[in-house]
Amino acid sequence: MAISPAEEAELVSRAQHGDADAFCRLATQHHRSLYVLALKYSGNHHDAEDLMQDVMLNAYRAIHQFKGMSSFRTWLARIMVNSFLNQRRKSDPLAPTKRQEPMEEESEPMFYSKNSERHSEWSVHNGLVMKQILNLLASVPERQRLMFLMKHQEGMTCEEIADTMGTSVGTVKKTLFRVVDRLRQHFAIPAVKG
Amino acid sequence: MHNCEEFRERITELIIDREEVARKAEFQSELLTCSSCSEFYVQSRELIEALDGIDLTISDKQWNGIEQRLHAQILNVANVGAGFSRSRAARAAFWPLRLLKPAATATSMMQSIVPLLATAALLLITIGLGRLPSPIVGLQQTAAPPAQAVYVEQSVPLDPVTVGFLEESELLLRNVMKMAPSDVEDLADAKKAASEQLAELDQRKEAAAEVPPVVGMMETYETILRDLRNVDIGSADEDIGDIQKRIQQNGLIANMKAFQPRISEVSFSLR
Repeated sequence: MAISPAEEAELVSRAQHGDADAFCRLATQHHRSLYVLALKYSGNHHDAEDLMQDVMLNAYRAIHQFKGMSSFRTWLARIMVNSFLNQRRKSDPLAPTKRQEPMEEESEPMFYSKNSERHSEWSVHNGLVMKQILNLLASVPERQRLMFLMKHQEGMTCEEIADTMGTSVGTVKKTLFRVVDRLRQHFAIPAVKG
Repeated sequence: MHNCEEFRERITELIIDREEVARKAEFQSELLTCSSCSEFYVQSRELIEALDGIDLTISDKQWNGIEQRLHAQILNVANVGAGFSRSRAARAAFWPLRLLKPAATATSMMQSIVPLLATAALLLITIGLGRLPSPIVGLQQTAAPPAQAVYVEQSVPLDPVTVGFLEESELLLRNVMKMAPSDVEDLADAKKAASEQLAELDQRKEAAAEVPPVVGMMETYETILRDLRNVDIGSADEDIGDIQKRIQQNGLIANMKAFQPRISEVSFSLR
């Protein structure tokens, strides 16, 4: 359930005074959208949950630094960028470069579709498109991918993205163009088998 | 003068925002005159529509699990923080007041010294009484509870070896999730690691006995380890798929992570 700005301010204040439950309530307001963004960014549920947790824990540790000069969401977005881009992958001797490779076995079965029985054909089609898009997104450099998702997923303006990522509006616009251009060149809607 | 790159940069933001660029008079003429830009527009729109259309619905059960694990992590960090505060408070209570407040007035100095003198007198009496001969049994009975125990920092009731075990387990599970059944070498490594972990598991369960959720998680993990150890190369495809599914369904990786205390430096600019 969405909370009013006044309630949010109250929760922030309580969290700044060490009330972890208040922070949990704040986190509940944002963790879903953050998770979906992380899912598109990372391409799989495990990394998405790790990323979302990292962002929230970093936010909790830094909550006393939040001065209320911007909305909590904007502040969280800045932490998200830091966390996403500074993440250190755990050493993974069996699959060291998996992130940059297509996600054949991971992306498709991990997503859940409510209406998969009633619309199995659409579900297959959806799965193919999703797999293709996530593969394409994974091929985009991380910073560019994040900018694109902040625009597409979060609906942030170019000014907000520039501010959050510490860059110019012009750079954001150029990056968005490059990402969309790159994606559309490799994107083709798969045909549904009759 | 039409400049393709400049024009496309201008319309990209609008396309991502799902705006009808073709209906805007300022862009219509350029779309009509440049077929290449028109193609860019159509393809980009299709791409964004496809992105919008993908179904990322996650079941309520999964959300609940995600939320619970997140809250557990936050509360875990909160407990660590509270532990630090307790330690600081304990240290502050230990030091004489005059050391903490050098500018105290004479009256407050006296007020602080009186309890200190009283404490010192009590200490001397206790030492004196302790020197009197008494039976050994009596010594055990009169042993005071360790007051310092109040200040011992132990926010996460898991010993370092168990925490290390959870880290190793998380890594193994991650590797299993990314493992291709056809990769015989990886499979052999995973089977070996599973056997080693199984050998240590009972000891770790015993060490974590005071934390029932960890023990419960280790029991689930044990079934995974057993199945992993027993994977047959011939049917690895099916077996590994099943193991991966169970790891995911039980949220084992996230749970392993949730019980590992993590403290890291955070530095963000003030907002």
